[in-house]
Amino acid sequence: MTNKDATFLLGACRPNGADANDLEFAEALVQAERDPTLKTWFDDQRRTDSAIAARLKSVPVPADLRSRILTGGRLSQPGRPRPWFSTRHFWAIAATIAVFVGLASWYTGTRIGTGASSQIAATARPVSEWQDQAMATLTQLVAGKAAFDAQSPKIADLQQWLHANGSPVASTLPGSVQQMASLGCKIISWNGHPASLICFHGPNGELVHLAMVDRTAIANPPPEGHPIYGERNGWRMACWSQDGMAMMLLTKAPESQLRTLLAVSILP
Amino acid sequence: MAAPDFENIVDAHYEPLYRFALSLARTEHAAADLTQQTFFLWASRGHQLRDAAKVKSWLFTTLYREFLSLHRREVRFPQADLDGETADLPAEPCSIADSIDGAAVVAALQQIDEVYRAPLTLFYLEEFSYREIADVLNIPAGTVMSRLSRGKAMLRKLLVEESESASRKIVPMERPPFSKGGAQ
Repeated sequence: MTNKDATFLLGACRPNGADANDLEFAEALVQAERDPTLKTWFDDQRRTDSAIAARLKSVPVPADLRSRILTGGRLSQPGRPRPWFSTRHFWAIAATIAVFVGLASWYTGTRIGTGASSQIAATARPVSEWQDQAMATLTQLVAGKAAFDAQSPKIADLQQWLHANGSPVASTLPGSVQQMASLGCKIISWNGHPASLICFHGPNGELVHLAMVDRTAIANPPPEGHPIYGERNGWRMACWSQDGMAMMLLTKAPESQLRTLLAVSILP
Repeated sequence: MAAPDFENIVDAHYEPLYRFALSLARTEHAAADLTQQTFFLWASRGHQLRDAAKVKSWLFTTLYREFLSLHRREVRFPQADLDGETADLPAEPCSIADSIDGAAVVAALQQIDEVYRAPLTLFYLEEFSYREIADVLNIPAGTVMSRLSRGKAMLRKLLVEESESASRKIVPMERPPFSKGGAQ
């Protein structure tokens, strides 16, 4: 083995001595003990490698990272029961039933000449009930009593998944919301309408959630173009309407967090 | 998996994972997100791993794959096959050991091409042997050795330049004290 071969091998030998008994390095290590030139090189290499390793291991880790990881982990643990209404099968069956009901009502309407279809439309309900439903589901998610239907750090993936599964989702989100790393999403049923929930890692470590439902499901939907801020059961929220949907951004963080996220125009 | 197991795994690995992510992702925010996402994936899929001894390897592999999938367009692959390359002995002894800090090491690592940076960071974290690094990065062991050899040379050069640059910085001269016999 030449010294050049030995340096090539010894360059992969960890400075903390963890590879001392690795047979791959044995011959090169013996040679380094015998050859003064190689020994000088190896000693210098080890000293420098040890210093670099020590400095790298001293790089500080964000103080809140551990708690953020543990929170995210609780939200994503598998094996939790999923409500029957949150499954794809449910929505497939519901869609089939809706088609049959629609056809039946059309047939009945044409026969008796009445607006039968209006009888099956859900009555719009107060926005507060939608907020309560969203908060209750989010509380279950955070507590680990419910699981996401889909998970991805990319919001675009979740938007696509929600759209493919027939749940409302805005194609354009406020800039700061679009830039947050997402955790996952869930479809819930409210007032006969599918409603979407998306959870994000907020910019300061806390969780931020976005809820969306068809605007027609709400009797007093929030205004278009600008958010209305409020607080309910310990949640801070901002509500607005967009693309025919009622949108709600929620967090347990201070309201200023929501205002920062929605600082840019919420209109696409 | 049970919650305490998850917490134990987080405690054992999140710091080196974050440092690995920091060298890859360049910003603290992106590194934290990458680390968080890795554990998120572990919490949802980790139960599929049957060999508990491979948790650390799974985490680092997953973090690296997540990084690549998020930054695929930024990754530049070398044109030449590096297998079989050998290192030269350094021309002069390196005297940087006492003059660098963690930030300087990370900054220097971040200037190095990703194909060298990933094995280099794993090597200096000392969590894996070169063969294990090969498994994590899914490259041949010989390639790890080549990249370590080239990468270490690049890193040393950058650190020496940084050290010399720091020593050349202008330091304001201390003002001479007033003499006792000055104006009264």
